[in-house]
Amino acid sequence: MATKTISVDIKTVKNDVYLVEIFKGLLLTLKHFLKIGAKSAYLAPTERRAGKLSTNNRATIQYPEEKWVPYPQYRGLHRLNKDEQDRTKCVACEMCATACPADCIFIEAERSPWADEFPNDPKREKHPKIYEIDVLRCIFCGFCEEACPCEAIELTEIYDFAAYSRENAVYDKEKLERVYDLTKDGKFYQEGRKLDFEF
Amino acid sequence: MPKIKLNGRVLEVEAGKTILQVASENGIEIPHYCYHPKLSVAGNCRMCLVEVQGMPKLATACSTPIMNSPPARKIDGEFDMVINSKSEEAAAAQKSVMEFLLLNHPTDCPVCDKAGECRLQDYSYGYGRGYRRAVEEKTPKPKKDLGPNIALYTQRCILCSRCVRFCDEIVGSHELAIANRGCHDEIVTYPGKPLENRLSGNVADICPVGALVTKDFLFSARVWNLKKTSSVCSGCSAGCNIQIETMAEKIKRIQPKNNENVNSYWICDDGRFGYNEIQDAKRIKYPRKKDQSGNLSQTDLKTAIAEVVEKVNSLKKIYKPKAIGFLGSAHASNEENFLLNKLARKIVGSSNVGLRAAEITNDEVVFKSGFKIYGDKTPNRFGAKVILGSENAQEIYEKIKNGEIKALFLLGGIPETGFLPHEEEIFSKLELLVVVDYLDSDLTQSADFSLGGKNYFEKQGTFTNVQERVQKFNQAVSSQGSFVSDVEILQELMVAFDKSWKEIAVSEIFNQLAKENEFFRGMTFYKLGQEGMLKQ
Amino acid sequence: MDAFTQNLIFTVLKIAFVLTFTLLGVTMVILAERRFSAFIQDRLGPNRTWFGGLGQSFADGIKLIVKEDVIPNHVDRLVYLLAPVVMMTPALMIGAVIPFGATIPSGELWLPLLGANLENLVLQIANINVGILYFVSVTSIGVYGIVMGGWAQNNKYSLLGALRASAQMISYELPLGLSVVAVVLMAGSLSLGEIVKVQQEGFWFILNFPAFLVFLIAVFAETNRLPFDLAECEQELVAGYHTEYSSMKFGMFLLAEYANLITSSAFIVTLFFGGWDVPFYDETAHGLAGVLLSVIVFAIKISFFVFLFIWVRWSLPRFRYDQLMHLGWKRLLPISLATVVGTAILMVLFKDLYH
Ligand code: SF4
Ligand code: SF4
Ligand code: SF4
Ligand code: SF4
Ligand code: FES
Repeated sequence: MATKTISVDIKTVKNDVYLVEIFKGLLLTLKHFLKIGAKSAYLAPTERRAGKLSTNNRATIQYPEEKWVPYPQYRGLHRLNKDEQDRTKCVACEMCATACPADCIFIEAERSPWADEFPNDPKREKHPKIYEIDVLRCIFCGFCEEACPCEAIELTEIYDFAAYSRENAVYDKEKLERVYDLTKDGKFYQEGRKLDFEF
Repeated sequence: MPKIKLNGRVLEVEAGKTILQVASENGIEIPHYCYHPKLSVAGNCRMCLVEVQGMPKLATACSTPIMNSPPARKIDGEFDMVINSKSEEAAAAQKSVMEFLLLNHPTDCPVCDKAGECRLQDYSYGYGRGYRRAVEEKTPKPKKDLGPNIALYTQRCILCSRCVRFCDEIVGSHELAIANRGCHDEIVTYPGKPLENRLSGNVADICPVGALVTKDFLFSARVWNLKKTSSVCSGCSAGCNIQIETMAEKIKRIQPKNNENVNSYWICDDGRFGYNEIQDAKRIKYPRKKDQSGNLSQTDLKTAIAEVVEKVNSLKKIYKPKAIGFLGSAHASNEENFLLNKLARKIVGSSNVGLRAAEITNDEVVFKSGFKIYGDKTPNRFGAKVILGSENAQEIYEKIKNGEIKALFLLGGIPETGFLPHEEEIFSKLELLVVVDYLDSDLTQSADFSLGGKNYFEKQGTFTNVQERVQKFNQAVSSQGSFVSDVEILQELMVAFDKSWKEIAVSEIFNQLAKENEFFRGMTFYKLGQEGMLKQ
Repeated sequence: MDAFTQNLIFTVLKIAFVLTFTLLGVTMVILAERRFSAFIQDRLGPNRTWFGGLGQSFADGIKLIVKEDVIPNHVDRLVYLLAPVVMMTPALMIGAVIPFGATIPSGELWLPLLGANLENLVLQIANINVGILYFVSVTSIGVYGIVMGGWAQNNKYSLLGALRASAQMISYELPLGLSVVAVVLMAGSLSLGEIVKVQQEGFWFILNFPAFLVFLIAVFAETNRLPFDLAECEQELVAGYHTEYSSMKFGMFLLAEYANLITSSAFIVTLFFGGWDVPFYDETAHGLAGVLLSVIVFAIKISFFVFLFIWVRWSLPRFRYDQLMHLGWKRLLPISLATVVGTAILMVLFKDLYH
């Protein structure tokens, strides 16, 4: 990329006096002040009122009533994917746990209940007896997703899963699969769903 | 001696050795699957192909010996052979061998037990092509059960025949064979005859890929998460060198560790899978004492020992020091027996010291290669004998029976066993029975004081095996039972009897033992090293 | 009731009024700052506590009070504890000399009911004849709070913040004083009551625009507000002189800052915008109602300047330290000197304008 040199003479008298530029700046902020301030000064945060001021005009999202819908690449809470027959796709290979820089995935494998259905596919012979992610330690780097050979673990768009206790912040297999049920159509926030765990 | 050039390095080596041997002795890697130092050369995997100058074709390093060449034909006038495993031609051969081996290989490394220590993986990175050209479907070959301990993932097999040769040459049981032809080749057992020799676990170790696996380890951990501790097997008096592999303070598997003086590359299945019983045994966590009415109550080590000392001292007053008996154990380490002996002879002043051990069984097996499973299932009978100066416990038993001995200190350590036969009856005559044993058994329950202890995965020490070789065993996991080890308990006892005794570490105890005992003279804990030592 | 008791009662009442006004004002200003800054940045600001966020400052106050009060081990304890007090006191003391409403004529007051034989009631706690000197001296005590705080915490960032603050205050005290001299020249008195009266009778001193400008800028610097908040700039000094203060001690620094804001605004209003003067209206004409109006107008004028402070803070970036010194010594000082001289000349030329 060619570098373009722009020369700006900041040593003009106008700039040196400051006042003109300061005044221009003040006008600009005043414009914004009036735009938002005039419209929202009296708005209280209920959903109905929040609707009055469209999001085009403001950056604030009135959180519990309105929710931000993340972009598709967003890396939020994990989920464990399942196949068409509701069997977990995970084969307990521990690639994710090995890749995880925060060391927050704990897996214990066992022979899967559906092993006999796949005599020629040793992959399906193994599944996780315990699969736990400690989301308090997770840094949401997405390496686990990257490492997974079975597309079993994925990061979803869910961002609001703060918990009241450390125990509740450890997501086990059931919870992670429940997250999959809630997010498999990618419309968690559009449909106004909520995580139905104990937090 | 022939002078050769191997991958650019000039070496002078013995004639008759193979290229592969010379390479591995000199730290040069030549990839290979079917070659195993303890098995005959099969030369069937073709992975070890190297370029030998002057030979028309590539040669297999595992089967091509180093030779002298006549002076007229020396290469560059000085080298008998010039070998290159990295030449373009050799690399191309390695690539295509890898491609052939992977042609029908499932590459399901994510669920394969071998992943992480698999030659196929390693060589794919090092020598392989990196991608697959074949578009054809792979021939499916289902998983098979070969025997009580071993399963075969048939499709992962690269037909190196190591397992077959192992059964033929080491075990001598000829249980495995290769059947069928072409891409339907597979390892089979004879119909109705499962793979159940007592060394069967070793086939999983020598299998260079994840085809043969032990059912014990299957799915239980990924190998790169395992913490490895070298140790000595306590299953019999052979003292095989082992590697204890643990994860999260649990033993996941036990593998043989090469020691040519003892066990070569092998261990028996009893030692390999026996850890489960020891690990799952019911344990004593805190010292226990029994009151007059026979109730057991938990106490702490300090009070228990204080009471023991008080009792022993009063018994000593009534009778003679001789009335206190001591039983060392062939299942306890040299250090523990040494401390007990010291406690008896030096501190309490009783010469009534015996050696308690499980009977020698007649379960003695010698395999074709000479590998021997001993009938003596104690790991340290010889060492204990040398230290305690006693062959067995008979004398002590007799003295208890006729009332000469009123109190008894006893080292346990026999796995899965409390009382030995007749002991219950004999010990009921005692006024005081103090037991140092990790098991929660009938013995420790009937003892007046049972002080706890650790099992041998949890502590450090030395055993003297049947060949009179002193070897170290090491702590692999933290204790599931007592927090103090047997040597610590014994030393607490010694301190309680005699304030001048200073508690020292296991290595120090061994060094002291070496100073005091003729047999161990000249050894130090450090000098034992990885291979152990014989009497100097 | 003798005159002394009367005076005492009324003074106490006036003090109570001024303090309440300032402290309540502080909470409102803090809220205003947060909400206005939000609006300027297209946000909404705190809008949940009580009616659309009105309770936010009180909630924060409660939070600050009940928070754990950490006193680090390495601090110079006495100085550390004193600093917020030294900071807070002058901020509230300045209110003493500001006239906040028209004089209540003696006849108008219902207080004769108490049997009082009243003089006119001046709405100013202390109408001292050196009010301006009082202002200048008391504001500069505030800097001791900062210096003490910075010193006591025994850490380099705080100390640097304090150093900067003191250097800055000294630099800007000069133009501040000189621009006030211009006002004093015009008013012919150092008493604030007198200054307001002169403006009420003639024109507001905003006429002397250069003096106003210099004064305004200098006041910004004196109150440590952006663009002159070098004493606490986060990027360089963590939080400057109050880095290691927590709980209500931190709250006191905050309170002092905003109290300063209000009193400074009051001063600007008093010196240049006629104080409580309602333009084109005779405050004494309608008795108590007129006085009340004057108080309200005074409050409105203050509010405007408070808004200006906030507005400027959220519009301008911070000065660099050398720029700050440059502005102070090379620009404001000459300008203010020129203003003094110019005002004096003009005063001589147009003698009759005010007197
Ligand atoms: S997102 Fe990163 S830190 Fe979190 S579990 Fe996955 S690999 Fe670990
Ligand atoms: S989630 Fe994926 S990477 Fe992790 S254990 Fe399961 S299959 Fe392997
Ligand atoms: S044998 Fe090796 S290459 Fe084959 S699946 Fe197992 S780990 Fe992977
Ligand atoms: S099972 Fe393993 S050892 Fe046996 S032939 Fe196949 S690859 Fe070789
Ligand atoms: S190792 Fe030489 S052919 Fe297999």
